[in-house]
Amino acid sequence: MNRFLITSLLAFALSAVPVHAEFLQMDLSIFCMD
Amino acid sequence: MTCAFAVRGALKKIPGVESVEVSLNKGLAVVKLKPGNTAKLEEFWETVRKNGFTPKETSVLVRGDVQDGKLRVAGTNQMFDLAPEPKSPQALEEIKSQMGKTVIVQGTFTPGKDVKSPVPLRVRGTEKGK
Repeated sequence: MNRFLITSLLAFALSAVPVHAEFLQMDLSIFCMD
Repeated sequence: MTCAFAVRGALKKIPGVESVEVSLNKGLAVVKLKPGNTAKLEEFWETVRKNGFTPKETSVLVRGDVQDGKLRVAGTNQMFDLAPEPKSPQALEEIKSQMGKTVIVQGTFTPGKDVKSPVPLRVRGTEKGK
């Protein structure tokens, strides 16, 4: 029971950690194929 | 005109994209992404290719964690090798000093012949993550 509680709390805590990591903007140079 | 409209629409459909502006005169597609997105770089390159364009140098603003000299983008778990930008060699050193921290990196990727092949991120500048 205690182990389950600890595991659940840990899972909840980890899921609550904000993931501040991603692409914010991309400037793509593009050329028309002939 | 039709080309720009098609590629703009296709890029807009990629999950996590907030807005797309395409200028054929400049040969540029500017894509802004929503917070918390998990978009991958190769998705954009493939989409550009499928719509009749060749993707070239791509400037990015990306937030990630510095680990072992690489940048980990946690949203996708991708790891990018970091390389110096000739015009800003000090930027890479600054990033490496942020080991274990979240940083926002401004840099460029240049796709290879196979857009799925991993390429390094050439670092132009950085600011501490928020």
